[in-house]
Amino acid sequence: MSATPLRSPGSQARLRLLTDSPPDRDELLRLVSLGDRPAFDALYDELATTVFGLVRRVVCDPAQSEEVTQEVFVEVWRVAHRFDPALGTASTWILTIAHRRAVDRVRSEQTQRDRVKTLIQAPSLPQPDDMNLSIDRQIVGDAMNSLTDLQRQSIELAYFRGLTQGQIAELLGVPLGTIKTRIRDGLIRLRDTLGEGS
Amino acid sequence: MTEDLHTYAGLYALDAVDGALLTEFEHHLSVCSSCTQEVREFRATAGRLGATQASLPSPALRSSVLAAITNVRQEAPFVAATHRHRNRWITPLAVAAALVLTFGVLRTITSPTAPLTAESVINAADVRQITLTAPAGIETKAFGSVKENRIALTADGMPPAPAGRSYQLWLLGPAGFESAGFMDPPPGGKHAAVLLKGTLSGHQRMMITDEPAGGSIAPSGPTLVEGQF
Repeated sequence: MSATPLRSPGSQARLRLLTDSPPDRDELLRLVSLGDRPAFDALYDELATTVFGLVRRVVCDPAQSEEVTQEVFVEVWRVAHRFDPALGTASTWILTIAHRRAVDRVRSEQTQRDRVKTLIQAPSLPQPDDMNLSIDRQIVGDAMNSLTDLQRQSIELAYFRGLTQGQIAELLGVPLGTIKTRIRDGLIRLRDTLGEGS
Repeated sequence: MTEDLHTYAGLYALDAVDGALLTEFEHHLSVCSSCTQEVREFRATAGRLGATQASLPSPALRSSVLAAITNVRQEAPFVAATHRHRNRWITPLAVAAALVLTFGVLRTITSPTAPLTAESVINAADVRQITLTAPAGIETKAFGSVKENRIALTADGMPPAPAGRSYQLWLLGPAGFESAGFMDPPPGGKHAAVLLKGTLSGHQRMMITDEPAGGSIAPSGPTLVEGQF
């Protein structure tokens, strides 16, 4: 893949997810750190669907999710020089920023107690049609299903609902010490099953 | 306690640690390479979960984002940080520490939201200063910069916290008081300055309370200093 892939303005954003060769995104991000705007455009096209999908899952509200997604990409532009490919992929780096921003948004929008009560699933979203994504969903879903109920629930509440350690413990009626070890054990299992690549 | 902190790596990688624990764990990360590595791996794993959530944003978002960056200056690299701290995107504190060293040189070229020091807020062009209510003999001032969107605090005449206690900083936000770090005055009531964790925007009040060493999740001890922005 070249560093400036084709775009399709006005239609669905390009979606090449986990089977893409990661070095391309890493290279795009390196070019972005040098102020390369076409590289930024290409990086947006590569990852906007993923970033928006994760943010929307956490934040729920579509308008706010788009605001947060914009914040994420502006942040990527601003601090791209901090990315270090030796420490992880560009996708992981950007999704880490996206998750942090999404969580900050839900915690500033609602009191913690409101958030604990908000357990409505995000409504179904327009989904990109992509075979690689379907395959990866299956792999990740199988890995999640191999966890214990408590491991899976704790990880989902933390990552997809943006709850804090105390909120998860309260909601599940389990001591904090149990939550933190279950989450760690669950992540170790997922890491060993899925590998690190993203 | 160190053994206990190791087990927070999972929660931390999922952004689920908050309050005083967050401060404590981030400090721990700056000295524990195995936890830093574990957090890095867990974030990659979390990214695999996150990547399954793909959903199409509106086409208008694309032009909005591309227009937005034309108004945003890119942060300049911290050369000293690159060599001193490889894991800088996991431990922003390390960047702040390196920035102290290079601050004089880089100050004019770093972007507004680069990692800051208390000094950079106090010396910001748009700084506003308020004097906080404090016990007799102690002078505490808060410095807020809208441009930096941060708050710094100075104290003179403030003794160190008693043994087994910590002076914890709090900002009042929409969800209640949030820990904003700690004040650790040097002996003899000498001048101390600290940059508060958290932004200026969204906070109207701050205070310092006397808490058990290591801090509390929510303010529990006596209030020493307070003020309104």
